[in-house]
Amino acid sequence: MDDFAEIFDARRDVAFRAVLAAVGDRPAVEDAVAEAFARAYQRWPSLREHPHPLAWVIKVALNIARSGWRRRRREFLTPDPAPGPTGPDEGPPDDRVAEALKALPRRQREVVALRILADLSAEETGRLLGIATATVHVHLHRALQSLREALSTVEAEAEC
Amino acid sequence: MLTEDDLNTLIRREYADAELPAILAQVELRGRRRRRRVRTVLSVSVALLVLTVATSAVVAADRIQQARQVAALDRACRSAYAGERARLHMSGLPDGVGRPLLELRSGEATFRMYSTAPPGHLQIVFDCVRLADGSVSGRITYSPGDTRPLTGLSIAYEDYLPDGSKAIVIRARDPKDQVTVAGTRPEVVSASAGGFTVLWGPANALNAEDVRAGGKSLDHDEITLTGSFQEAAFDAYCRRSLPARAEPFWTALTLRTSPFEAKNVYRSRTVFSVCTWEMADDDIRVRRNWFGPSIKSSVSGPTDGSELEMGVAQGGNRMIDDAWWWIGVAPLDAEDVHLHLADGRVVQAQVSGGMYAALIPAFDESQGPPPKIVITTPTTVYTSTGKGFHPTPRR
Repeated sequence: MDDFAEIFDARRDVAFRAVLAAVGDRPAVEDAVAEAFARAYQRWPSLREHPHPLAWVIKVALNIARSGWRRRRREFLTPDPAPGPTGPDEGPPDDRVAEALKALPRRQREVVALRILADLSAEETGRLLGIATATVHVHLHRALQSLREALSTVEAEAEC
Repeated sequence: MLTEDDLNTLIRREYADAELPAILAQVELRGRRRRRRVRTVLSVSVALLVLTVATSAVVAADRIQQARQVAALDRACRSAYAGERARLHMSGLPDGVGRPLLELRSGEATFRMYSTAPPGHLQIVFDCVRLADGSVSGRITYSPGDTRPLTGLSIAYEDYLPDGSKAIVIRARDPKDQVTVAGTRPEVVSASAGGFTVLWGPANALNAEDVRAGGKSLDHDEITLTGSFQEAAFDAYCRRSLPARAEPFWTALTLRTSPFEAKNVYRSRTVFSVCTWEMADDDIRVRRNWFGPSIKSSVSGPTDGSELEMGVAQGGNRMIDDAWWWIGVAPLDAEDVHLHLADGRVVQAQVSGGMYAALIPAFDESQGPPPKIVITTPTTVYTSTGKGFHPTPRR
C-alpha cells in the first residue's frame, strides 16, 4: 500500500481544492474527499491499475458531496466513529474569486475545478463528467468569460 | 482586462491554502472501518463468578456405554469443527480444538464449548451441540487474542439451535464481573469455566436483555454474531437494530448471494433498514479474516416521518468484492425492477415486500447512482428521471 500513501500525500490537496471549488461546502467536501480516499484505499489493489486514480477519487468525492440521497441517509446512519478533524475555517472561501466561482452553473464550476485546479486534460475532464471533450471546452470558455466579467465588475466598483 | 492566464492564476491562488485536514492514517483507518464496522473482540484473561450451576448431572449406569457415547460425541464435534473450519474465510484456524472447556446437559441434549489460543494470537471459541434427536452442529467464532476491550464484555453471542433452544456465550473483561439473569427460569441451565459463562435454555425463556455481565446488560451493542452464519441469530440481531417505532416492520428481502455475505431488508410504512453480515478479508494480501464477521445496519427514509416514497434508496459496495448493492423503495405490488446503469448495463433487481435490491458486479462507484430505474406494477410503469418517478399506464 506504499504507493497509495504516495498518491495520497501528493494529491490529496489537489483533490480537495478541485472538489471544494466545484461544490463549495467545505465541511461536506472535507468529509467527501476523505471518504473517497478511504474507498480508494479499500480497493487499492485493483484501483492502482486505474489510468488516473486521482480522477477516480475526485469523481467519487463529487458524487458523495452532491448526492442528496446520501445526505438523507447519513441522517439515519450510525455515526462514523472517526470523522476527520476540521480546519479552523469552517466556511467556503468568501472572497471575490470564490464568490464568482460559486455564481457559475454547476457544470461550468466543475470544469473549471477539474481543468485548472486538478490540472486534468480536457479529455480526462470529459470522461470524468460524462460529457464530450468539445463540451468541456465550451463550458470552460463560458466559465472564464463569466469570471472575467464578474471580476472586472468588482474591480470597476472598487475603483469607483 | 483579465487574460486567461490571469484568471487561472487567480483561481489557483484562491485555493492554494486549502488543505485536506485528514491525514493518511485517518483515511486508512476509515478505509479499514468500511470493511469492519463491528468486530468480534475476544481474549481477556478473566474469571467470571458463576451465576448458577444447574447442570443436569447424568449418571450413566453403564460406564462402557457412556464412554462410547462420549467418544461418539467427541468424533461428531471434531467433524463439525472441521466442517465449519472449511466453510469460514479464514486460513489461520487450527486443525482441531482439543478438549472441551465446559459441557452442559439438558435432558438428552449436550452443549459443549471449546476455546483455544493457537500461535499467532488468534483465540477461537467453538461450541458444539448434540440435540435429543442425535443431530450435531457446531459454530466457530474467533478474534485476535491480544485485543482487549476497555470496558464491558470481551465476547457475547447467541446460538439459535434447531430444537428451539438458545445458548448465550459470555466472557467479561474484568474477573470480578458477575453474570446475572433477571427472572431466571428453571429450564435455563448454565455453567462457567475458563472465564466463560454459558446459559442454555428454551429460546423464549432466555432473553439477552435480561442478562447482565460486566456491569452491562447484553443489549444490541454488546452482542455479536458468530463467524459461522446463523440465520435466526442474524435476524434477531437485525431486529434489535431497527428503530424503536410503534409501527410494524416486515422482512421485505433476504439476500443470500455468497457464503460470505447475508443481507436482510426490513421495511415499515416510513423507513427501511438494510442489515448486513459479511466475512470479508481483513488482510487482503493474505486473504484472511482476523476479526470475525462485520455486522452493520443502516436505516433510510424521510426524516419527518412521512410515508416512504419511490426514490428513497441506498447503495454501497460489498466488502468481499467490488460488487455494488443498490436497494430502494418500490410499490407494494411491484412486479419487476430494472436498473439502467451509466455504463450501459441493465440489471434486473429482486423485488419483494415493497423493496427492490440489485447486485451490480464489478461496479465502479464513480459512476454514481443508476441514472434510470424502471419499476413495473400490474397497472403502471414508473420511470425515474433523476428528479422523481413518472408513471405511465402499463400496456
